[in-house]
Amino acid sequence: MLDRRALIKLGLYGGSGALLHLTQLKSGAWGWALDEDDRDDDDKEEHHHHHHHHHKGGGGGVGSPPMQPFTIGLPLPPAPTRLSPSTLPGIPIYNDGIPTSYYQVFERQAPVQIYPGRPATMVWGFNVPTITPGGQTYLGPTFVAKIGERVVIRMNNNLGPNNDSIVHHHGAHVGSAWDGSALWSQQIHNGTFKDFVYPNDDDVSATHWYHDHNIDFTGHNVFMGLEGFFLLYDDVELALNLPGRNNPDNPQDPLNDLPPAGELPFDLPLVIQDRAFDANFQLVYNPFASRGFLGDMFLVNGAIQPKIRVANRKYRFRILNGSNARFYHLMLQTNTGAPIPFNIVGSDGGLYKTAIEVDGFQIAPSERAEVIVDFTGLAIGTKVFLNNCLMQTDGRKPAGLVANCATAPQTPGPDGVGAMCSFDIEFSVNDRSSFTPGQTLRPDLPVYNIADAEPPVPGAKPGATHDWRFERGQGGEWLVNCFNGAGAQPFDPGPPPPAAEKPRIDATCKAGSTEIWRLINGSGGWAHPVHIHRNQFRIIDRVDSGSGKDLGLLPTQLGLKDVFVLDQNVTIRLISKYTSGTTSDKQLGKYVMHCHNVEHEDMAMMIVWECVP
Amino acid sequence: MSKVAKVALTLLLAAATVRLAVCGDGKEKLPNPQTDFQAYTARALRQHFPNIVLTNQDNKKVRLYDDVIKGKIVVIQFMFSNCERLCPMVTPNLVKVQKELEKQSPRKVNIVSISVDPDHDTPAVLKAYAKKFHVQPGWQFLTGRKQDIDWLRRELGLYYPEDQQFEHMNMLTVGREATGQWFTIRALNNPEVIAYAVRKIIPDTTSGRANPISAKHAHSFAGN
Repeated sequence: MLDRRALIKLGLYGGSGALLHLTQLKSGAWGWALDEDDRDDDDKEEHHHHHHHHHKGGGGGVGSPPMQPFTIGLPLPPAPTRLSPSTLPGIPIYNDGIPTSYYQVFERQAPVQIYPGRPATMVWGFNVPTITPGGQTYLGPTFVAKIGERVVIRMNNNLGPNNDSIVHHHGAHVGSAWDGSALWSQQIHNGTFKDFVYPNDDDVSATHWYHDHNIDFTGHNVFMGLEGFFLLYDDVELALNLPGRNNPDNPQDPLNDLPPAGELPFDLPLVIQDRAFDANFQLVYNPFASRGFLGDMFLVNGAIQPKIRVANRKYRFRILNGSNARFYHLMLQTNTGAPIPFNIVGSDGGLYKTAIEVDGFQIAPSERAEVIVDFTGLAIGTKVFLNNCLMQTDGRKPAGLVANCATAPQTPGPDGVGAMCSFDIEFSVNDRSSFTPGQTLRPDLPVYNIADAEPPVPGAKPGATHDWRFERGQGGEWLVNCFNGAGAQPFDPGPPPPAAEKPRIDATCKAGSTEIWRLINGSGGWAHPVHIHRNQFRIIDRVDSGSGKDLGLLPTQLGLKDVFVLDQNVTIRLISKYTSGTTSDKQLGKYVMHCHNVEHEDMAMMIVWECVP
Repeated sequence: MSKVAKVALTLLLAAATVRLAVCGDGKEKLPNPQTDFQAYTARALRQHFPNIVLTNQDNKKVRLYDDVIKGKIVVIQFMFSNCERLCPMVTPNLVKVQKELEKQSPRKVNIVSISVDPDHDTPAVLKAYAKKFHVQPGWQFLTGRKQDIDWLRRELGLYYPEDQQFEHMNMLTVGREATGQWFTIRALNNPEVIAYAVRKIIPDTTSGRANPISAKHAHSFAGN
């Protein structure tokens, strides 16, 4: 479907400012297209030419080079190497008896092989290129620590001139100085480093992640690959003998559920992302995608639609939506269309009290869902597709479930419906793990009492300590509480250095107190995945913002949470206790809450709150 | 896709890659992403800057990409002189931003205000507007064909036909063409903060050099 005119243009236009890329024509075939530069004459002469005006600003990339799905392996970033602190001059050394691990990470740009046999893709990442037996990836190393084990990381920014970075440990209780909020003081400038101390002492086992959080550039930096997993485990979790149980402290532990040599573990962290590539196989980010950037290719752990070789037994998947703006509704279907349920066993802040079985679930940007999937009984040769059934063509919000996801195309179409990856049942192995649908997992989760909550602050309605409205300002910008009587108040990181950092503080929370926060989306125009730093919360209720009708909690909202999906016209109340941990800083100081549609965040949809003694 | 089509596509893709990498348009070589990713990114982002012809407040014709953006650090803002709600606040704030920038980094940044009501905002009207707000050199006011300007607004993510009530008059598009570093910031923020954020992408400012404070890991124990 490459017409003569396009061919001529290939020669004539190669560098006129137009960007050549492959695009799917109305006929369904792939062909070359030129981007917007030459729109005027194209519109007159070539109506098959795609222009995707609606993607501008609101959407993102279209026309990535196609790739045969389910052909490449799953990259699984290794754990970083533990270092002796003596190799890291000046790093804080702890001799207080608390087990402490020291690491060093370099943020840099590097080529990574994403399209096999094609030119490598330049990415930004932590310790990239990350080379794994399953292939190369932009993901950073996977940190693993036990609850109570202190992790000290020297983070070097080698991203190049004028590229600052802020590194956020998403999900953790950490001191404000190491949290990685979008504050000037947290920036690591190119050519410098910062030492982070994560006490990991005030959480339960959980799937956290770390990623860039730089002021104004988070969308770009995360899109380019500055992210990785940070997994915490504890004795309660180990005692459950869930699939893939692996006690790193004792590799010979007879209860460990380890794979045969050369096979993937039975406990797999999987980050699902959408990305866009140009005709030269390079990532294409649109910094003007103010509604949220959408890509047209699905990647798992940095590989395009990988084929994941598995056994017909139970697996634990820790699914993270690491996309900038895309929501997914995930379902599992075999190649014969048979559904396979998920057992959701945990979310952002760790395992649930009780497992819940579902056919599918929505996962918003930065949310995590831990699931147990049972492939037992499936014949060797079966393929199981992890399908996205949620349509989305605009960064503002998803557009609803597709009618019949079992017939989802394998490669995502323009509506974003398609398969993330395939699990190919290729071998059998003894399953020593333990899991029963609906079983009790963690009876020891913290309990927060509504009766203990602080009363409403001025401006908040009864039933919550603070009210936060996620809305658009008079100029169409994404804001929080812009119509609260104080005038339109954007996120303000405060006066620039060297002045003392004084961002506008939108809320103060007393250490040790219990608070209820009400997050309000009063509009039907968009959805926001709201993330709060420092604490894990329980969701009290989820109601219609207009009628107050109880909508019930989503299956991903039943445990400890740090991401709260504000779907259209939804209000959520959440509760937490602002505990201080055991470190000397008491985790006092400044933290942020923001929309984790990272383009909304970069624009201003963020507030600063402070934990005070 | 048939196997034949796939092979054909592969060949074309390879040919196009080579062509793009080697030939460009005959005038300019496409940067190699492996060795100069910044320049490559900057080149890819050109698709967002239509080279429309605009007229400035001195009645001089300028081409948006060639004359206003290429090789420059710019702050782009959309306005109209009859705007009563936001522009009367935004323009004075931007005047403060300009003062701050000129104090810290003289003549490094160009401010560009583009009218979204070009039929009314003739060069003469814009000149009077600039004078009224005591705008300093280094700040152009541009007018042109409405459809061209709307095209640019769409490219910069600040125009959606369905959101007419949100005119995005208070967003600033800030960028450095040569490196492809672009961001959007709210025009009513503290002018010092805006100026600081802009200066982050100016070569040889603090963020481009090793920072001795950070190198001594001063943040590590900082309590707030």
